Amino acid sequence: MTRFRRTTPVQSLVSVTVDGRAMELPEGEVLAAALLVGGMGRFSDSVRVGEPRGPLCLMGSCFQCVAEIDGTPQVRTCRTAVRAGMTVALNAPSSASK
Amino acid sequence: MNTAAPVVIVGAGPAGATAALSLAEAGISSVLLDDNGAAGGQVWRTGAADLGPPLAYTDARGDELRRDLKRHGDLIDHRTGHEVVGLFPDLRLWVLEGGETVTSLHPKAIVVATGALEVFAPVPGWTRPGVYGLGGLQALMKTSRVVPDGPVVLGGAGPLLRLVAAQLASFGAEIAAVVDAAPWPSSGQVLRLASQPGLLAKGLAFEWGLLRRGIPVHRGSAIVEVAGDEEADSVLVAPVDENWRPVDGPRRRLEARVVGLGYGVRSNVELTRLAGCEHTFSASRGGWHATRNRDMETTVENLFLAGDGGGIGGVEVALAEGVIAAASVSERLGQGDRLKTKAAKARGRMVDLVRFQDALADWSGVRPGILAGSTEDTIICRCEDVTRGEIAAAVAAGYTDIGPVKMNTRAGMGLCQGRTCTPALQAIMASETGRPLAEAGLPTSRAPLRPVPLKALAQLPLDEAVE
Repeated sequence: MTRFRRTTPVQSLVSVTVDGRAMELPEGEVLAAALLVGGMGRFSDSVRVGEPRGPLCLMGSCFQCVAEIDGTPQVRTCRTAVRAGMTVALNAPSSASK
Repeated sequence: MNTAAPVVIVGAGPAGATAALSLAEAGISSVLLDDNGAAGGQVWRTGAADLGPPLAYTDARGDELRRDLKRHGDLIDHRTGHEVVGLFPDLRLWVLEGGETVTSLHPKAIVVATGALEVFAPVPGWTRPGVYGLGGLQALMKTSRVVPDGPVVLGGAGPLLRLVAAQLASFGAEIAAVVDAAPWPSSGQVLRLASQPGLLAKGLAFEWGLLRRGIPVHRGSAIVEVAGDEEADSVLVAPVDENWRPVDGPRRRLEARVVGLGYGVRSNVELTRLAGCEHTFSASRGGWHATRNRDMETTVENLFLAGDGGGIGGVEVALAEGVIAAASVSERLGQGDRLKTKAAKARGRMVDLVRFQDALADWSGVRPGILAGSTEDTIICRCEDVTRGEIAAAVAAGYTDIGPVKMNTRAGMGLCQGRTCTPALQAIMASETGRPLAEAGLPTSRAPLRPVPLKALAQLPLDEAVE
């Protein structure tokens, strides 16, 4: 369920793979923002009790928005720009610090 | 890379960028490190793309700052996407670039200008997706012009609460309610706030922005629960007393697809703690912050600190402190006192600005009941899933200092290194031990401050990597 909308027109879209699904996201956009507009809210599961979690601070501090990006775990989506061809895995088991 | 730069400034927000620009004015070069893609800090954050008309209630000073930095590019080496993950008492810095490369810098003087972090008050359900920091909702607007779709409830206290509400509303977001723990300021508080008529006028403009759109503001109230199936879909609002403790009275449930929370800001102390600076607690300046002398120098020689990191003062104070810190660095490096007059003027401005900040804190600063909305089962540390009850049990078992409580419960030891939960942890320590908040202590900071691949640390010179 989408909880966010964009109020400015998008300049150019690029193809990104999110959890195995192809998505067209605005190039250069903050990845967390693009995913929120794309209807994603649950970004990861908490490490101990496995509760759903999503971005909180959106300024690089809280690490609640981490995802596996191009194979690198624990990358903050709020500090990552959308690039053509990037592969994003939300809820990836390796993106939680076990 | 220029590792021999005499001055490194950490943070390109108003304080850090002003320090760099002032140094450039005196002919002194500096390296300006910032983890963001553009200068401006949180307050003057901007996006990568052309975003159209400016955000409501903002001024053009962020754009001016970015233009000035570019203009002084010969003297200011502004490195974006560079995060400082280590700062040591001998003034060595570890800098993380692109998440995978760590380099070491060893300047003669450092100005830390890493600003503030948002203060959260955990309540049942606050970990649900759909709950964001007020600063986070604002960051989405600033970088991307992305706003919530569907009813929004914002809760907390202080100026940011109404600013974010008014800004979201200006984009047509549906603000179902603003829930403010503080009551209307008293006439005495208003008088003191009026000592800075410009700043008071700004605050009133936010308030008017809410009033003219008919947005309900529940004063003396707090969000005490976020409910939902998986993600947030409603909040429970309860009246609170003057210490922000929920009291008997009508509770109301409000539908909310997006919830914003924020109880003001506190100094980001992770670098100054790591460097071994002395810290003090000051309730009117957002709690713990590094101690400084009037030249903005910390207790570590040649380590200067400007802006909200040295106690919350807001953007105007940050701008003044940036100038003063630059003047001190210039004199320390034996580069003359060309900035002396400018620094004296900045000091003059600070006296009144700090008075305004005191009045602001008196009205909306964190109160001792901030955690009264949480329960035994409320998760305090989101990284390690540690509940309030587990922390209280550790205190009851005899762990009455914050360090041992962390090690016993793992609260504050996850990915975020306590940046989110520390104020809550301190408040629980205070309430469980019966000691004042000022005695709850500060957790230890350890490098690297962010997750860093081991291969990146291995690239450091051997004498550093083995320390």
